[in-house]
Amino acid sequence: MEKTKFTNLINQLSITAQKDSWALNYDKEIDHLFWNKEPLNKNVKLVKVSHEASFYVDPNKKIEGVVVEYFTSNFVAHNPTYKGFAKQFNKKVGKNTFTVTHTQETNKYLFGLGEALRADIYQDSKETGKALNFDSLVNYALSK
Amino acid sequence: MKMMENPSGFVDFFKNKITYRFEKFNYEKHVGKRPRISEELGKIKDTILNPDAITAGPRTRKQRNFYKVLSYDDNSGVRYVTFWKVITFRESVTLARIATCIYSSSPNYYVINSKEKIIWKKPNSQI
Repeated sequence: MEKTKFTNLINQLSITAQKDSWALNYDKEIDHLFWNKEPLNKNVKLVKVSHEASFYVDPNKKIEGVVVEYFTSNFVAHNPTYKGFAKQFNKKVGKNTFTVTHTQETNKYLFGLGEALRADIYQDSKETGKALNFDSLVNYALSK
Repeated sequence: MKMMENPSGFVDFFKNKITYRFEKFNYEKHVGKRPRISEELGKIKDTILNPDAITAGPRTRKQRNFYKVLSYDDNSGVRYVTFWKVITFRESVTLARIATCIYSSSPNYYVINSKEKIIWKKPNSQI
């Protein structure tokens, strides 16, 4: 999959998320953000595409969700516009898990999340000096 | 490493003098989303016993992350690896709690989050 196709997939995240009613959860203990379809396809694979971002990919190579590691201690630190977003996770849904009440502001953040992730992925790619071949990585992950 | 049922009704792993506790509610919470945890409990145990790398943090040194590479493949100059990551939190000198277990695939240079501090790595590790 060439760069443009991968870019398009990331750009489509918000639209896919809206269409498939992705759930948004933040695990406070491990500081991970989960934004994914529920339930996930049972054959879904997690592929890590940068130091902090991973995608859930189904056997048809469709993205079913995103995981952001160290959301407040890393992602928000270098995406300061998301500081307000982190504060919106105030609805407890599990022992360490919180979600948001969807508002216009939350949706605005979610709409921009794809772009922020894309910027981070390219930044990581630039720093490592290696371009990510998403299609090849997904093929490898699906074979495992 | 021994493995036995803990007071919550799930398993404890023992390594040296530390008990790694996987509490029942936490296991059930994660296994519901990631059935592989139940299928590969032995691999999770092995991740703690024979890791490829151990890291600390990033937010607290009580957090220890254990990595175990299961397989790897070279593709156009990039090494892809499939691995388990087990995140634990030290509760006391002798007890650590398993927070979650993550099964993932990635280029080897992205496996360890750059915010974590590597405290031990196996010689010739693939990550």
